[in-house]
Amino acid sequence: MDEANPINGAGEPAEIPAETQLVEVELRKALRHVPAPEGLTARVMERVAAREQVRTQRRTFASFVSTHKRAAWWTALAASLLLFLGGDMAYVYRVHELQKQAEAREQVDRAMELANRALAQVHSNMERSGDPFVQFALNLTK
Amino acid sequence: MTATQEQFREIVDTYGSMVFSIALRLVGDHGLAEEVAQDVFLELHSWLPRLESDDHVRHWLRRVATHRSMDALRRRRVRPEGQSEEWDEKYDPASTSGNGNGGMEVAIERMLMSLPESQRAVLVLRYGEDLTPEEIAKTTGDPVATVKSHLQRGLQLLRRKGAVVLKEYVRG
Repeated sequence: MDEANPINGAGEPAEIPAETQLVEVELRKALRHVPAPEGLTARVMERVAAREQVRTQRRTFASFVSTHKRAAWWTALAASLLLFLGGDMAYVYRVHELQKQAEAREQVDRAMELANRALAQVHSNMERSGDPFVQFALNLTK
Repeated sequence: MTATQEQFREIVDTYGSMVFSIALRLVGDHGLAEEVAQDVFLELHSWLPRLESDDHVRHWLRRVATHRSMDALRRRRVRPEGQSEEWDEKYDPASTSGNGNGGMEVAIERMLMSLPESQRAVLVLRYGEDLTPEEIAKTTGDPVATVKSHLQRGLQLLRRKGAVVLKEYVRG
Protein backbone atom coordinates (compact mmCIF):
# COMPACT_ATOMS: atom_id res chain seq x y z
CA MET A 1 0.00 0.00 0.00
CA ASP A 2 3.03 2.25 0.30
CA GLU A 3 3.12 2.77 -3.45
CA ALA A 4 -0.55 3.61 -3.71
CA ASN A 5 -1.92 7.11 -3.87
CA PRO A 6 -2.43 8.09 -0.26
CA ILE A 7 -5.61 9.97 -1.02
CA ASN A 8 -7.33 7.54 -3.34
CA GLY A 9 -6.24 4.38 -1.59
CA ALA A 10 -4.92 1.38 -3.43
CA GLY A 11 -6.78 2.09 -6.69
CA GLU A 12 -4.81 4.84 -8.36
CA PRO A 13 -1.06 4.88 -8.74
CA ALA A 14 0.31 8.38 -8.50
CA GLU A 15 3.43 10.39 -8.67
CA ILE A 16 4.17 11.07 -5.06
CA PRO A 17 6.81 13.63 -4.20
CA ALA A 18 9.71 12.29 -2.18
CA GLU A 19 8.82 14.51 0.78
CA THR A 20 5.25 13.18 0.84
CA GLN A 21 6.53 9.62 0.67
CA LEU A 22 8.83 10.35 3.54
CA VAL A 23 5.98 11.89 5.53
CA GLU A 24 3.90 8.80 4.86
CA VAL A 25 6.66 6.42 5.85
CA GLU A 26 7.29 8.37 9.02
CA LEU A 27 3.55 8.58 9.71
CA ARG A 28 3.26 4.82 9.49
CA LYS A 29 6.18 4.41 11.85
CA ALA A 30 4.90 7.01 14.29
CA LEU A 31 1.38 5.60 14.27
CA ARG A 32 2.34 2.01 15.00
CA HIS A 33 0.23 0.52 17.75
CA VAL A 34 1.55 1.17 21.21
CA PRO A 35 1.07 -1.45 23.92
CA ALA A 36 -2.01 -1.01 26.06
CA PRO A 37 -1.29 0.32 29.54
CA GLU A 38 -0.35 -2.25 32.14
CA GLY A 39 -3.46 -3.67 33.78
CA LEU A 40 -5.94 -2.25 31.26
CA THR A 41 -7.67 -5.62 30.86
CA ALA A 42 -7.96 -6.08 34.62
CA ARG A 43 -9.43 -2.61 35.07
CA VAL A 44 -11.91 -3.18 32.25
CA MET A 45 -12.93 -6.51 33.75
CA GLU A 46 -13.39 -4.87 37.16
CA ARG A 47 -15.66 -2.22 35.68
CA VAL A 48 -17.60 -4.87 33.76
CA ALA A 49 -18.05 -6.90 36.96
CA ALA A 50 -19.15 -3.83 38.94
CA ARG A 51 -21.67 -2.90 36.27
CA GLU A 52 -22.95 -6.46 36.08
CA GLN A 53 -23.44 -6.44 39.85
CA VAL A 54 -25.52 -3.26 39.67
CA ARG A 55 -27.51 -4.73 36.78
CA THR A 56 -28.12 -7.94 38.73
CA GLN A 57 -29.35 -5.95 41.73
CA ARG A 58 -31.66 -3.95 39.48
CA ARG A 59 -32.87 -7.13 37.81
CA THR A 60 -33.52 -8.75 41.21
CA PHE A 61 -35.57 -5.80 42.38
CA ALA A 62 -37.44 -5.64 39.08
CA SER A 63 -38.12 -9.37 39.19
CA PHE A 64 -39.33 -9.11 42.80
CA VAL A 65 -41.71 -6.34 41.82
CA SER A 66 -42.93 -8.21 38.76
CA THR A 67 -43.33 -11.51 40.68
CA HIS A 68 -45.27 -9.87 43.48
CA LYS A 69 -47.15 -7.52 41.24
CA ARG A 70 -50.42 -9.41 41.66
CA ALA A 71 -50.00 -9.58 45.45
CA ALA A 72 -49.18 -5.89 45.53
CA TRP A 73 -52.30 -5.08 43.53
CA TRP A 74 -54.48 -7.15 45.87
CA THR A 75 -52.92 -5.55 48.91
CA ALA A 76 -53.49 -2.10 47.52
CA LEU A 77 -57.09 -3.00 46.66
CA ALA A 78 -57.74 -4.43 50.13
CA ALA A 79 -56.21 -1.36 51.76
CA SER A 80 -58.38 0.91 49.62
CA LEU A 81 -61.49 -1.10 50.46
CA LEU A 82 -60.61 -1.04 54.13
CA LEU A 83 -60.15 2.71 54.08
CA PHE A 84 -63.36 3.20 52.15
CA LEU A 85 -65.41 0.87 54.36
CA GLY A 86 -63.79 2.19 57.52
CA GLY A 87 -64.66 5.73 56.54
CA ASP A 88 -68.17 4.71 55.59
CA MET A 89 -68.72 2.85 58.86
CA ALA A 90 -67.50 5.82 60.88
CA TYR A 91 -69.94 8.03 58.98
CA VAL A 92 -72.84 5.63 59.54
CA TYR A 93 -71.98 5.36 63.24
CA ARG A 94 -71.89 9.14 63.58
CA VAL A 95 -75.27 9.55 61.85
CA HIS A 96 -76.73 6.83 64.07
CA GLU A 97 -75.45 8.59 67.18
CA LEU A 98 -76.97 11.90 66.06
CA GLN A 99 -80.30 10.19 65.37
CA LYS A 100 -80.28 8.61 68.85
CA GLN A 101 -79.56 11.99 70.41
CA ALA A 102 -82.40 13.59 68.47
CA GLU A 103 -84.83 10.83 69.50
CA ALA A 104 -83.86 11.15 73.17
CA ARG A 105 -84.35 14.92 73.01
CA GLU A 106 -87.75 14.40 71.41
CA GLN A 107 -88.79 11.92 74.14
CA VAL A 108 -87.75 14.31 76.89
CA ASP A 109 -89.71 17.12 75.20
CA ARG A 110 -92.78 14.88 74.94
CA ALA A 111 -92.50 13.80 78.60
CA MET A 112 -92.23 17.42 79.67
CA GLU A 113 -95.23 18.32 77.60
CA LEU A 114 -97.30 15.48 79.12
CA ALA A 115 -96.27 16.41 82.63
CA ASN A 116 -97.12 20.03 81.94
CA ARG A 117 -100.50 19.03 80.59
CA ALA A 118 -101.23 16.86 83.67
CA LEU A 119 -100.25 19.64 86.03
CA ALA A 120 -102.49 22.12 84.17
CA GLN A 121 -105.38 19.64 84.48
CA VAL A 122 -104.81 19.24 88.22
CA HIS A 123 -104.62 23.00 88.60
CA SER A 124 -107.89 23.52 86.74
CA ASN A 125 -109.66 20.79 88.77
CA MET A 126 -108.49 22.38 92.00
CA GLU A 127 -109.79 25.79 90.91
CA ARG A 128 -113.15 24.34 90.02
CA SER A 129 -113.54 22.31 93.26
CA GLY A 130 -114.68 25.36 95.37
CA ASP A 131 -113.05 23.94 98.51
CA PRO A 132 -112.01 26.96 100.72
CA PHE A 133 -108.90 25.16 101.92
CA VAL A 134 -107.82 24.46 98.35
CA GLN A 135 -108.63 28.06 97.35
CA PHE A 136 -106.46 29.26 100.21
CA ALA A 137 -103.61 27.02 99.08
CA LEU A 138 -103.94 28.23 95.49
CA ASN A 139 -103.80 31.83 96.63
CA LEU A 140 -100.59 31.12 98.44
CA THR A 141 -98.92 29.83 95.23
CA LYS A 142 -99.83 32.93 93.16
CA MET B 1 -21.69 -13.02 19.14
CA THR B 2 -21.84 -14.11 22.74
CA ALA B 3 -18.78 -14.40 24.94
CA THR B 4 -17.98 -15.65 28.39
CA GLN B 5 -16.00 -13.48 30.76
CA GLU B 6 -12.86 -15.34 29.73
CA GLN B 7 -13.53 -14.79 26.03
CA PHE B 8 -14.26 -11.13 26.66
CA ARG B 9 -10.97 -10.85 28.54
CA GLU B 10 -9.22 -12.29 25.46
CA ILE B 11 -10.93 -9.71 23.24
CA VAL B 12 -9.72 -6.91 25.52
CA ASP B 13 -6.21 -8.39 25.47
CA THR B 14 -6.26 -8.70 21.68
CA TYR B 15 -7.65 -5.30 20.80
CA GLY B 16 -6.50 -3.31 23.84
CA SER B 17 -3.43 -2.05 22.01
CA MET B 18 -5.40 -1.02 18.91
CA VAL B 19 -8.13 0.82 20.83
CA PHE B 20 -5.65 2.51 23.15
CA SER B 21 -3.44 3.55 20.21
CA ILE B 22 -6.33 5.13 18.32
CA ALA B 23 -7.47 6.96 21.45
CA LEU B 24 -3.93 8.07 22.35
CA ARG B 25 -3.23 9.45 18.86
CA LEU B 26 -6.53 11.29 18.81
CA VAL B 27 -6.65 12.72 22.34
CA GLY B 28 -2.89 12.98 22.89
CA ASP B 29 -3.20 12.28 26.59
CA HIS B 30 -2.26 8.95 28.13
CA GLY B 31 -4.76 9.09 31.01
CA LEU B 32 -7.63 10.27 28.87
CA ALA B 33 -6.78 7.66 26.22
CA GLU B 34 -6.99 4.87 28.78
CA GLU B 35 -10.29 6.25 30.06
CA VAL B 36 -11.63 6.24 26.50
CA ALA B 37 -10.32 2.70 25.91
CA GLN B 38 -12.01 1.43 29.08
CA ASP B 39 -15.29 3.09 28.11
CA VAL B 40 -15.09 1.58 24.63
CA PHE B 41 -14.60 -1.94 25.99
CA LEU B 42 -17.35 -1.44 28.54
CA GLU B 43 -19.65 -0.44 25.70
CA LEU B 44 -18.45 -3.43 23.71
CA HIS B 45 -19.48 -5.74 26.55
CA SER B 46 -23.09 -4.60 26.10
CA TRP B 47 -22.91 -4.67 22.31
CA LEU B 48 -21.15 -7.99 21.90
CA PRO B 49 -24.31 -10.10 21.44
CA ARG B 50 -25.17 -7.91 18.43
CA LEU B 51 -21.79 -8.30 16.74
CA GLU B 52 -21.44 -11.21 14.35
CA SER B 53 -17.74 -11.91 13.84
CA ASP B 54 -14.21 -10.94 14.82
CA ASP B 55 -14.03 -8.58 11.83
CA HIS B 56 -17.26 -6.98 12.95
CA VAL B 57 -15.82 -6.57 16.45
CA ARG B 58 -12.62 -5.00 15.08
CA HIS B 59 -14.54 -2.59 12.83
CA TRP B 60 -16.93 -1.75 15.69
CA LEU B 61 -14.00 -1.09 18.04
CA ARG B 62 -12.25 1.21 15.55
CA ARG B 63 -15.44 3.14 14.89
CA VAL B 64 -16.43 3.53 18.55
CA ALA B 65 -12.86 4.29 19.66
CA THR B 66 -12.67 7.06 17.04
CA HIS B 67 -16.03 8.54 18.01
CA ARG B 68 -15.46 8.32 21.76
CA SER B 69 -12.03 9.90 21.38
CA MET B 70 -13.52 12.78 19.40
CA ASP B 71 -16.25 13.11 22.05
CA ALA B 72 -13.62 13.16 24.80
CA LEU B 73 -11.64 15.76 22.90
CA ARG B 74 -14.68 17.94 22.45
CA ARG B 75 -15.49 17.62 26.13
CA ARG B 76 -12.01 18.48 27.22
CA ARG B 77 -11.33 20.91 24.41
CA VAL B 78 -7.72 19.78 24.47
CA ARG B 79 -7.23 21.10 21.00
CA PRO B 80 -10.12 23.10 19.53
CA GLU B 81 -10.96 22.32 15.90
CA GLY B 82 -9.35 24.56 13.32
CA GLN B 83 -6.99 26.20 15.77
CA SER B 84 -3.87 25.06 13.98
CA GLU B 85 -4.87 25.20 10.33
CA GLU B 86 -2.10 27.72 9.77
CA TRP B 87 1.58 27.14 9.91
CA ASP B 88 2.88 27.72 13.38
CA GLU B 89 5.84 30.09 12.91
CA LYS B 90 7.06 29.40 16.41
CA TYR B 91 7.44 25.71 15.68
CA ASP B 92 10.98 24.77 16.61
CA PRO B 93 12.30 21.74 14.72
CA ALA B 94 15.44 21.67 16.81
CA SER B 95 13.42 20.81 19.88
CA THR B 96 11.81 17.81 18.21
CA SER B 97 14.30 16.46 15.71
CA GLY B 98 16.16 14.53 18.35
CA ASN B 99 18.41 11.65 17.47
CA GLY B 100 17.50 8.86 15.12
CA ASN B 101 14.06 7.42 14.41
CA GLY B 102 12.64 7.96 17.89
CA GLY B 103 13.10 11.70 17.60
CA MET B 104 11.52 11.78 14.16
CA GLU B 105 8.53 9.78 15.38
CA VAL B 106 8.06 12.13 18.29
CA ALA B 107 8.25 15.07 15.91
CA ILE B 108 5.70 13.48 13.59
CA GLU B 109 3.41 12.74 16.54
CA ARG B 110 3.67 16.33 17.73
CA MET B 111 2.89 17.65 14.29
CA LEU B 112 -0.04 15.25 14.09
CA MET B 113 -1.39 16.50 17.40
CA SER B 114 -1.29 20.03 16.04
CA LEU B 115 -3.69 19.12 13.21
CA PRO B 116 -7.44 19.67 13.46
CA GLU B 117 -9.31 16.71 14.99
CA SER B 118 -11.06 15.56 11.82
CA GLN B 119 -7.83 15.51 9.78
CA ARG B 120 -5.97 13.82 12.60
CA ALA B 121 -8.62 11.10 12.87
CA VAL B 122 -8.46 10.38 9.16
CA LEU B 123 -4.65 10.24 9.17
CA VAL B 124 -4.60 7.96 12.21
CA LEU B 125 -7.04 5.57 10.57
CA ARG B 126 -5.21 5.73 7.22
CA TYR B 127 -1.66 5.27 8.45
CA GLY B 128 -2.14 3.76 11.89
CA GLU B 129 -4.87 1.29 10.99
CA ASP B 130 -4.05 0.99 7.29
CA LEU B 131 -7.64 1.61 6.21
CA THR B 132 -8.67 2.76 2.73
CA PRO B 133 -10.58 6.04 2.40
CA GLU B 134 -13.78 4.02 1.88
CA GLU B 135 -13.18 2.08 5.08
CA ILE B 136 -12.38 5.31 6.91
CA ALA B 137 -15.63 6.81 5.63
CA LYS B 138 -17.52 3.82 7.06
CA THR B 139 -15.68 4.20 10.34
CA THR B 140 -16.15 7.93 10.82
CA GLY B 141 -19.53 8.14 9.12
CA ASP B 142 -18.31 10.90 6.78
CA PRO B 143 -18.69 10.85 2.98
CA VAL B 144 -15.72 9.39 1.10
CA ALA B 145 -15.10 12.76 -0.58
CA THR B 146 -14.82 14.42 2.84
CA VAL B 147 -12.38 11.75 3.99
CA LYS B 148 -10.23 12.26 0.89
CA SER B 149 -10.31 16.00 1.41
CA HIS B 150 -9.27 15.62 5.06
CA LEU B 151 -6.48 13.27 4.01
CA GLN B 152 -5.21 15.65 1.36
CA ARG B 153 -5.37 18.71 3.60
CA GLY B 154 -3.89 16.83 6.54
CA LEU B 155 -0.96 15.58 4.49
CA GLN B 156 -0.38 19.02 2.98
CA LEU B 157 -0.37 20.58 6.41
CA LEU B 158 1.98 17.91 7.73
CA ARG B 159 4.28 18.40 4.75
CA ARG B 160 4.38 22.13 5.34
CA LYS B 161 4.95 21.74 9.03
CA GLY B 162 7.42 18.96 8.62
CA ALA B 163 9.43 20.22 5.67
CA VAL B 164 12.14 21.69 7.82
CA VAL B 165 12.20 18.78 10.24
CA LEU B 166 12.30 16.20 7.48
CA LYS B 167 15.07 18.01 5.65
CA GLU B 168 17.05 18.03 8.86
CA TYR B 169 16.25 14.35 9.25
CA VAL B 170 17.29 13.49 5.67
CA ARG B 171 20.50 15.45 6.07
CA GLY B 172 21.14 13.91 9.48
